[in-house]
Amino acid sequence: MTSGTREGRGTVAAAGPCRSGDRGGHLRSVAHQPPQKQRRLSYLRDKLFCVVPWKSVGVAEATGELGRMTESGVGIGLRGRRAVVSLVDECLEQPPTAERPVTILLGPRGSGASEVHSTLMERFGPEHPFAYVNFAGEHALLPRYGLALLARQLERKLPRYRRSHFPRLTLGLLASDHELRMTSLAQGRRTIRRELEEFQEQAEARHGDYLAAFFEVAAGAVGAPEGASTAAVAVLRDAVRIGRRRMPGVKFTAGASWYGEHRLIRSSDPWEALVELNLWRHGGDAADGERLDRVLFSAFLADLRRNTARSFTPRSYLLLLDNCHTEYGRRFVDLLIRARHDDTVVADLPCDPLTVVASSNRWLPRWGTTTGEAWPWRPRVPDRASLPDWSEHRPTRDSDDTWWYPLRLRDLNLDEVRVRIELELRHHPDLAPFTRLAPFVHRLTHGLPRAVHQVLDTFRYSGAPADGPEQDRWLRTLPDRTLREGESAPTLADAALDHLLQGLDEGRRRTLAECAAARDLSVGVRVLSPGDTLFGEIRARWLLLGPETVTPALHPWPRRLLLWRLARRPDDWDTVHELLAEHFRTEGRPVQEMYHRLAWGRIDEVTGYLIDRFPVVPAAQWISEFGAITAAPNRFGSAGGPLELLAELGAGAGDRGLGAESVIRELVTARWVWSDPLADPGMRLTDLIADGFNQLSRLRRNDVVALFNEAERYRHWRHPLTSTSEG
Amino acid sequence: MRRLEWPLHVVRRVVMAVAVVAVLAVGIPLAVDRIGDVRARCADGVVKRGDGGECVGVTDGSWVFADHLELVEERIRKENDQVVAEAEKKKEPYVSVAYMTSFTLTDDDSNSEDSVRHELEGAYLAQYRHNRGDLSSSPKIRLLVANTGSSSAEWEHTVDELIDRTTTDDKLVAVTGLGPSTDRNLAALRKLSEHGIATVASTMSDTTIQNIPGFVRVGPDNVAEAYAAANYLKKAGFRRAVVVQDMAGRNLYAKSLAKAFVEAFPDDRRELAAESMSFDSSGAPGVWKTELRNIPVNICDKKPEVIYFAGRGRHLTHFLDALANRSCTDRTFTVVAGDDTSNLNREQIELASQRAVRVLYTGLAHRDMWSDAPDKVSELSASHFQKGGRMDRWFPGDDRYDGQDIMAHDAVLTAAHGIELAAGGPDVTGRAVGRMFHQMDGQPVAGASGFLSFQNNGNPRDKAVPILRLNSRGRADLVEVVAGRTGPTGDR
Repeated sequence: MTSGTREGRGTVAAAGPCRSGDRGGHLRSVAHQPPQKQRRLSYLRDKLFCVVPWKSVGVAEATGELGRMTESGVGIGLRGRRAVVSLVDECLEQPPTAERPVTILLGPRGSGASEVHSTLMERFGPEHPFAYVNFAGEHALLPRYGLALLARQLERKLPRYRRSHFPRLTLGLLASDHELRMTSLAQGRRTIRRELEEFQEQAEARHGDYLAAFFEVAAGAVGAPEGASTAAVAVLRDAVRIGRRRMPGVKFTAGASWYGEHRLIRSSDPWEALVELNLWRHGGDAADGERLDRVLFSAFLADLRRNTARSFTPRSYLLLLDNCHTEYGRRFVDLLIRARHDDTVVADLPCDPLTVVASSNRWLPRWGTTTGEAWPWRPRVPDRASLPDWSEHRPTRDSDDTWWYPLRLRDLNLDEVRVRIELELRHHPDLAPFTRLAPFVHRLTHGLPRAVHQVLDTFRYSGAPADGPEQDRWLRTLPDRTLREGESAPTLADAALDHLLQGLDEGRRRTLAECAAARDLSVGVRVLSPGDTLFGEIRARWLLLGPETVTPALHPWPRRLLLWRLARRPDDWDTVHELLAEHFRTEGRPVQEMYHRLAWGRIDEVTGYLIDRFPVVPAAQWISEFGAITAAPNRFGSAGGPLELLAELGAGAGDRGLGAESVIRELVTARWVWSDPLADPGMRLTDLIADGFNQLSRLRRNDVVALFNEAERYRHWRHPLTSTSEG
Repeated sequence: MRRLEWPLHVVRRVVMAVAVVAVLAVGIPLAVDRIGDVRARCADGVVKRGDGGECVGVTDGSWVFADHLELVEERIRKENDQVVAEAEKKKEPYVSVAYMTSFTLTDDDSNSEDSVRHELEGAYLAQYRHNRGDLSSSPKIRLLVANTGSSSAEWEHTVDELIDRTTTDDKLVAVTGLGPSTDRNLAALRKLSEHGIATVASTMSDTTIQNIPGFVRVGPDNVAEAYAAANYLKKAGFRRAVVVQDMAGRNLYAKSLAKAFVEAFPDDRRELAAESMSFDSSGAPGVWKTELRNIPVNICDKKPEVIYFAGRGRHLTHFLDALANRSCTDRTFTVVAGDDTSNLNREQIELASQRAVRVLYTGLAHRDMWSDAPDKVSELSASHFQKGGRMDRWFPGDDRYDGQDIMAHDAVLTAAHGIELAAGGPDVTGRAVGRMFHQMDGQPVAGASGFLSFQNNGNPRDKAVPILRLNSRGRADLVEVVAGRTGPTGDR
């Protein structure tokens, strides 16, 4: 029961694709769960929190990262995201009816959104009502279950506030949960109250309260986010604690009148309105199902507004919605935005008191084309996130886009990577010898948070040498190192690519690896796989470098790994680069042509080109072309350090003396090796390159300052904070 | 409505703290009061009050208010216990009658220890006679001893305690005694009356105290006394008199006595030699003693034969001191006083009798009345007070020279008689007993001070008044028995 008309018509226990055992269509309601399932509830809860930070189980196993849990997420997960915490703090302090954004964190997988959720949970959870739902669970999560899980968590009793209640939502869920026994609307009207009260009593007798039953059917969606700290897990565990019983005699049916007055429901009689809800779910079409969801969301927001209208209640409720790019995540967020817009703009009610932080690894279809042309928003950088920034950039209130606040999570810069490594040292002192490798890690991963973690984990588990040439040789094959101990452990490259490219089959990955040979992915796709939607797919996954770069290049981390794999297919490698070189030749872009010829291994051709260019173009331009060409990828042998690699490349070159040809060829090979962090992790060839530029300056009569400067730059090399175009 | 955003847990703590403080604020004083009550408790119904810590309240005899009362209170307690025991065993009904006066005395009181002890002894005799003596009747009587404290300062506590006992197993219906005629005792009397309790005064003689529901007195009122004194003086040939009066506002006794004498004495042949000479006992002792010392100068000047002293007995002794030091020692005077003289103790009487003046007073009762006017008193009752009688046997060595025992006896006997009559009705209540006081014309109380029936105003009908004289032995001799305001006994 994964889709179609059956979807959404089952009762809580048989909710859609939630449970494999329910796929046979055994429709049972919460109240009719067998008693042993109560025991299972606690088991599930324990299971959720004992080890696994939430993630796709398959990927977790593949990457060997099951069980990663940090002591505190505030220090580690928050580099570059502190403004998000300030933004949430600001939102929570606003008056209950103030308008707040639906903040959505955008970025590729591993960009740290889950860590932000964990941090927010840890930071605000102890003091504020919050709820966390992950839509990338093992099973899909229907909107009604998502609402129930959120409401149940928001009901948590906090010392400084009175308990919040969700009577309207609960009544709506109850009324649409199990199919009513009736032959006519009139009969349904007569019996629904009694049936609902019986149903409520049965559910409470089994689960303590009705909403708690949803933990059983949707337990996978409330696990702690990936990388959650123990503190965050403790807070979340407290939020989903069950067993509270409602005050005896308090019936949800008391809130029926709200449904009779709702604009989406035809009947004005409260009990007929509830019968209508039931019919929508159990006898209606897809439109009825959507209408039911809209009413339930409206009830949820109405309950929130009513809660905050009372004294001793919070000003706002924090919702953390992880992985909203999934089918049910998108649906949930769509409904939430729509309900808020309908209530606030159309019905002119006070705005609901929700502070929503969602995250998505994909461009959402509702925003139009992935180029972003149809969407009024341009994602903002999280460092400057604030309510004034939102107010300044939000579209007019007439559009429901007005509620979004998209924040593009950026990669970590070098300093942040360095700090992160040092923070990791607190819990993993065995990383101490690798603190000096922060520039290497940053060059290699471009600062993608998850990649940094994976590399550090590989250091720990694969026994990297602590220092010296041995370390260089060890790092040369880092992508093939295993991420954790054990024979079946995945390699770093496999684990990282599986995570980043989840959902792309092997064929597509091979194609992507070929296309990634081009610096401009769009060119690669156009030349090597014309008509393929791969470029749009990668852009939708936020895997292109940010909008600040002109060239739509694939993120350096997956590109490096894909090319590492492509290098194992020498013929394909050569073919791809030959084709691309030919393409750029015909396009009249010799620098790009030479880039691919070098990657193809045609060092002499490249050297010849650069020798020819040396006397005819200004030194600065020559240096620029030299840098662009020698940034080319390579398929060097997997053994040896940078000097050994250099020696291999020099073999066969013959004795060319100290002339320009010799110097330039040596510079080309040295910088080619140097620019690959896996080939020269410690940048040991920097001095060699500096000497090369010095020698080059002696071969030119004028315009040598640029060459001096370049020599000086390499001699006193300082790794750039963010740009990794070099190396 | 404005949202309150204070932290709920803090608010709860504050509310809890306020509630605790409120509970403590109420509870601590209550506890202190309770502890104070416990510490101030002398016995059931008896508490410590006042600066001197005197024990006041109501007892069935198990608490002894003063050492000199021990013997009589012990007898009362035993009798009360027996009544209760008989009620339990034989279903013998009983009610309670209290004897109330100031039993813990100081110099401020006009009564002496002797007089209040004698009262209680007489009250006990009446109880005994009613319960199992020669007048044995039903329902039985428990006699409660009620102490209003010195100067009746704690009358309210004691009266409240008595009122409470109307609804308890005590079944109190009547209060007797009631002390001398003071405003506090009058207030106590009125409150008892308002609560439906029958009251019988033994020595309260102020004329203005009358027409109170359920109230009667067994002694003559002041008017009757003053008229009796005037009649006696006229008969004895005295022609010229002066009145010495205590002007203290609270002294109703003195006021009514003087007023009645001034009305009764002057006639065609007799005169008052001067306006009333006054002193004020409510002032500082030094002041009223000075006033009393100055009065003899005027008296010498006016040359009366008789001085009518309208004041308390204890002031009388001071006046007699002053009169002994008069300048006109060549002249002799006869001093006539009211019944309060009977409250003087033996030493005071001896002292007064040595002042070279003849001191007469209108008493309330005297045991020689039976021998002097046998038709005026009940022989059976009077016999208990004669030498060798039951009172002498019960309380040997206690010379009941003042007649207070007789008055108290007659008061309790009146209450008992009322109870006996009320028992014919559906229920013996204070109001029923009070109504019976006016039903006694046909069957008067056989009192030792005279046969008693009562006018509607509460005064006794045709009550005989004894004229007494203080002798040098500290006793009062019966001079003559005189009829009240209707004239000397012999005139009737």
